[in-house]
Amino acid sequence: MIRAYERQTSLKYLRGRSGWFLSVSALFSLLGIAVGVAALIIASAFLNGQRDSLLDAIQGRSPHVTLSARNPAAPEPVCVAETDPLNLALGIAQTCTQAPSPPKGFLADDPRLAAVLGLPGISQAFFEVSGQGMVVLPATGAVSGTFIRGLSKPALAQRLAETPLAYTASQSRDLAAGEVALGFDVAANLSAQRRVSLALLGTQVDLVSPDGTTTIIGWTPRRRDVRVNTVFGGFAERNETYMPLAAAASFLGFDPGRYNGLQLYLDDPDQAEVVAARIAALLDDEGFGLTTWRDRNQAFVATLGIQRVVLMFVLALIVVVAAFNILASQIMLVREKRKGIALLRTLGASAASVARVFIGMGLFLAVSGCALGLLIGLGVVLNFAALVGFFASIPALAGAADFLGSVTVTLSLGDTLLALTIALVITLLATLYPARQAARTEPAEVLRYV
Amino acid sequence: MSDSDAKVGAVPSLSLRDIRRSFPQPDGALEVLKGCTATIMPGELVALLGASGSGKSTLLQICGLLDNPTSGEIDIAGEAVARLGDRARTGLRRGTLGFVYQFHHLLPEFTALENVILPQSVAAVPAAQARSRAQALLERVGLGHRLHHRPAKLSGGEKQRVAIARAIANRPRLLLADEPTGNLDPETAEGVFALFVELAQEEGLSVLMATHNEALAGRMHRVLRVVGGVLVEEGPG
Repeated sequence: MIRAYERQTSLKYLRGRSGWFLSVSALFSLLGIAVGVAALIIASAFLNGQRDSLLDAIQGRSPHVTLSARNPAAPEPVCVAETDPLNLALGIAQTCTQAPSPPKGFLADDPRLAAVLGLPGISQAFFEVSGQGMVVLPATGAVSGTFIRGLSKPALAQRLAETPLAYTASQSRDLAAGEVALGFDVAANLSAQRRVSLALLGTQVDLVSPDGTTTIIGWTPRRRDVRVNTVFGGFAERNETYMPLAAAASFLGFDPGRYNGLQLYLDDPDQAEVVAARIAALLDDEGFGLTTWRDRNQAFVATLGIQRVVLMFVLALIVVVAAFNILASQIMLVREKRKGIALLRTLGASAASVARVFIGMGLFLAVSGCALGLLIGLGVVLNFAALVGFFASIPALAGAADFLGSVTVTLSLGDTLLALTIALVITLLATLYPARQAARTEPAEVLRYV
Repeated sequence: MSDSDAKVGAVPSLSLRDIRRSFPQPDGALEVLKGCTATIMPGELVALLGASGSGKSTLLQICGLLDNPTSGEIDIAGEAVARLGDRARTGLRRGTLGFVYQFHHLLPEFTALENVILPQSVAAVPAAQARSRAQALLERVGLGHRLHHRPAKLSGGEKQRVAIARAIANRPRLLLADEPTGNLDPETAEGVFALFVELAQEEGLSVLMATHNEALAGRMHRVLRVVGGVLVEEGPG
């Protein structure tokens, strides 16, 4: 608890002999803290805005929970001892027959899936077929691995209709039976320059599925000529290839009416893990796998988190520099005020009381700096659109305004409180050393020689 | 009943018994005080004389609990201070002792009024009461018109008068003064000394005043001289 005279002495020392509200060094210390706090608040709002935009894009386009059927294991071959004398003479001891594989995927009217679809919080559900494949560009022989997804028309619209990063050969992003949409990574792999090229739009490519067929000349992969109608960007889906559902089911070897994926869109995407856990409990079947949008974009979400921590740390260094300024100026002040400190001690002020005078100065600078920084930070974040408009009215800044106009800022109470706490703690820590030095001043030593 | 009768049985404001103080030096300890013994009763004005470097200021610092003797015992207002901790010594400085220095040592950032309020604030006197007492004291020392001036705007004599007002603001039992007129011209010194003595008597304080001025010392009740590190009583002036 800082007493009235300690507070008064702190303020007197902050003012200096000039009698102005603050001495120059105190003013710059305060401004340093304010700049640091404002930078933390503004940067965190930018980061939150960027994160929210990216997560909205992810959550808006890719399913929040995906239920997939694992491919059934191929049955073991059934072998019987050879009885044919000719075969025996040729050294063939047994004849094996391969039982037909069970059909891939699940039926749409599986009662367990009906129970899943009845769970609360699910807003949309789409069946899909999917599998590994390759895309070959016959003109150059370039090959790219891909993950082929067969999507119904509404599911395709969900993924492609809203994205600004999709380019089509035709007016429509709908896919006809012989058309595909390629993710940016796939398109880049097919380009000699390893860059996405719109020249790919409208060209014919070969799709290759490892689910081939056995012929008299042996196993051959399944191939299909398709036309590239769309190339699209995104996040985890950049290496995918979209096809119309029926065409993909036929190409990937699914029986009619069978699917190996169920895409679920939720009312609240942040509840994806909760819904996935409920589905897992409901199905209790190892034949199904569950992934959420967070699982599929784990690296991306983690990168956002790391980027945020690093940036906040770097910006907190501004506050540290300001705190060093306070530390240096207070050390100088303690030296300058040795006589005054000794006098306070002779007047009966305790060592702790003298320390509180200097801690009080730090507290004043910290609180005032934080308040000013908060005002600046909130002013910029809450009036961001107006600021961008102002920049746009200045010809030299119009380009920057265009860029800033596309940026979203989102104020976070938690981050704001964190920024204030960081500044307060660092500033107060910076005052401890000079306060301790002041408290250790020996009045007899000082007053003996003055 | 006379003053001397009243003092019989009274608790001394200051009692020094065989106070010694030495300072370590590269070639051995330098013993400045070699056994000082003295008693100052309430209301007594005692002058402390001695050559420069004889140990007057050191003795005053020890009496003011700003320094510790190497050996010996001190009682202030009847309280033995040898074994007191820092907190209790600080408390005694706050309420029982007052200091006046040769150089006024006013806080330059504070006005005259604030300088006199400050020791009272340290002693947790309510603000209004502290302000009223400070104002009265400054008026008493003739500075009622200079309440809101900072020390830089005051003359040497005025600063010392503010320092005297500050020293007695908390009504101490013992006032320690280290050549309070040593930095003033003779005329101003005479005025400040007269005021000093008047106020001490009005407030009923004991005073121990170090000085080089034999004439002023002669006007005190008693004179102690530091000779060879010990106190020699020279009798009333």
